Amino acid sequence: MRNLYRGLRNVWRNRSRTVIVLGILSLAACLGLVMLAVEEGIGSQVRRLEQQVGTIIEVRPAGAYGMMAVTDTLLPPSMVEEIAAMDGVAQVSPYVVGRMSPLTGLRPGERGGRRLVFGVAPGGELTVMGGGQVEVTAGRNLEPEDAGRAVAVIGSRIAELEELDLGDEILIENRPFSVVGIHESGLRLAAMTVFIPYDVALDVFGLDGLSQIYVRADSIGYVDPLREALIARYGDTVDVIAQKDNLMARLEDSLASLTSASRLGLVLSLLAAGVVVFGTMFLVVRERAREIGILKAIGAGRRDILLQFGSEAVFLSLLGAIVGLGLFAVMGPALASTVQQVTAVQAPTALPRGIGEFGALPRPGAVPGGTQIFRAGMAMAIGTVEVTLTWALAARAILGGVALGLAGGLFPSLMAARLKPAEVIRRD
Amino acid sequence: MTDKVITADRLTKSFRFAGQTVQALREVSFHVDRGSLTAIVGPSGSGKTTLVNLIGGLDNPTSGELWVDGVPVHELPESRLTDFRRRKVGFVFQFYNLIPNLSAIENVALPLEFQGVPRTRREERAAECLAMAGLPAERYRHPPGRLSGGEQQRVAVARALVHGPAIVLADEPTGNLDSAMSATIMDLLRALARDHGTTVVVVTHDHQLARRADRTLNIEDGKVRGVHERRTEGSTDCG
Repeated sequence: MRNLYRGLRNVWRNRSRTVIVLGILSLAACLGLVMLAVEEGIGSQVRRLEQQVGTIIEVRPAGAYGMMAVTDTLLPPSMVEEIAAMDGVAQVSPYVVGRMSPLTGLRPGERGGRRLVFGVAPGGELTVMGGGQVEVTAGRNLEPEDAGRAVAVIGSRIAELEELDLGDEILIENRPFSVVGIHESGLRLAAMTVFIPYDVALDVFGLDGLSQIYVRADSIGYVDPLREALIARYGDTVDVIAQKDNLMARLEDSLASLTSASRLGLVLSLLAAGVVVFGTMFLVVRERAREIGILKAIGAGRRDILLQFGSEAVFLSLLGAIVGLGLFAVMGPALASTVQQVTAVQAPTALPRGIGEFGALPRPGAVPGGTQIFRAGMAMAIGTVEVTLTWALAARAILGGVALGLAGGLFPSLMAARLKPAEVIRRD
Repeated sequence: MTDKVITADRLTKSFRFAGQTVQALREVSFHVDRGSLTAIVGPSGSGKTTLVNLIGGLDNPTSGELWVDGVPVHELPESRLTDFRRRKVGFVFQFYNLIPNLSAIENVALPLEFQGVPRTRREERAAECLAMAGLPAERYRHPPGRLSGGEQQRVAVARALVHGPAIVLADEPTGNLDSAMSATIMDLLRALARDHGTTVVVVTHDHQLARRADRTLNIEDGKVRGVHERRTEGSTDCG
């Protein structure tokens, strides 16, 4: 224990050097933590999306690239019953995507913009963007008895912009609808959507078929067999897309640059910190060679020297990690945001077949503002990765600090332990 | 019959330096009696420090035998040498060589720490030795940088004694002190030998100080050229 204590005290023997070294180590630790947090944040967001869409299979009219609003082909409503009878199907959700309809509130023309209207099976889950779920936070969801009724659940952002509340009346295609619920989602675009019963949507938009059918499989294991069965049954008339393959693979591809940048940053931070610990301890051992000789002369064994210098390296590195945690707590969110912005610059142009394809987002040019919406797709799907100092992150920083100190300080400490006392005393 | 605590028999040490083999000691034979104060004198480069390093187990002889307090030092591997130094030897160096960020009492307690002695016992024993070495009690908690040269050497002497070694080896212990302080430190070492039965071997350039020793070994060119016994005032050659 005394060896460790001496190691701790020795950290402060050359205070100015220790302060400089700690500054470098803490910056490296902070950057490393930011990279780690960004990668973990992306991972958890991706898992969140994956959970939401993992068991969903999307059935579209063949060639209805991106969404139905720009194709003349629709799916016959009878498909809903047929698919529901297939093995492994947990739920079938018919989906009608309305045009970007002028949604007129109490003061039409003032704030009323074009909102995306979805017709869904009343009583089912509300999903948007190819399966992203939304949650009704005020009022109620559409119920089975709402079939045929002019009721709507609107996004929270619409409610805010249009100053709408439960019970208010809105006009869709000049027909009055009563607001029965307000929904929210982590996905910002979803907060700008309106849900109405799909049979009402067919009528309102004058459609004779469904835009899409979302099929939720019983479990992820049913997804592939079910996709094959759907293709076998409907052949070339439909496109069958399993979201887990389509969305997640492309989403992860799109995030690859961010993930690899954060990994590279993490490795470089660790490497820089390791080199600093190694260099510092190497210098310390050279400086204190005579002292090591004296310690050995008065009875210190190799183990004592190894423990003393090893613990000094570990304490130095650990202090760097702790100060780095403090820096991370203060600067982490801003740094993480910068990292995301810098690495995501190329992302929208790399997404011509990305988010816009799987969901209800219009493909570029389909509607006014569509390109912007499309390009914002990835950011909306992933959202802002929240970077916060958690116990898990702190524990990893502490463990990382200890490991780094051990790794960086091992060779110099072994070098110190192997010094021959007579040689260093004679040399100096 | 006197008890020989150090016995060297044809002790030889050579090492490589700047690409050449240097013969530091050439078949040196001598003995040192227990409880005596022995001075080793000789010009620079004569092999005095090499001899002290061998006696103290800091280095291995190239050939010959060396027995210290019954231990065949010439046969000990590095791991056993550490234990030998830890239990049998105390060192005093010219430049004190105290650990700068430890207090006087912590410095003195270090050898006991390496023996695994509990803290309270260590501090008690270190305080006893500091008192014996003549350091004022209010200085015990001072770091070496706040002590004078003489005080630092007193701390170094206390550190050499604290674990009750069989021998204390002092390499130029007064080389960095003025003459008055040198005499004080020498008297301290002499008292140590006389009153506590500790064998003290002192390397010095100073013949005046060497006269205070019971016995003087003259070393030149790696050989013992003469042994001067103070008690008998005689002189013999030991080669």
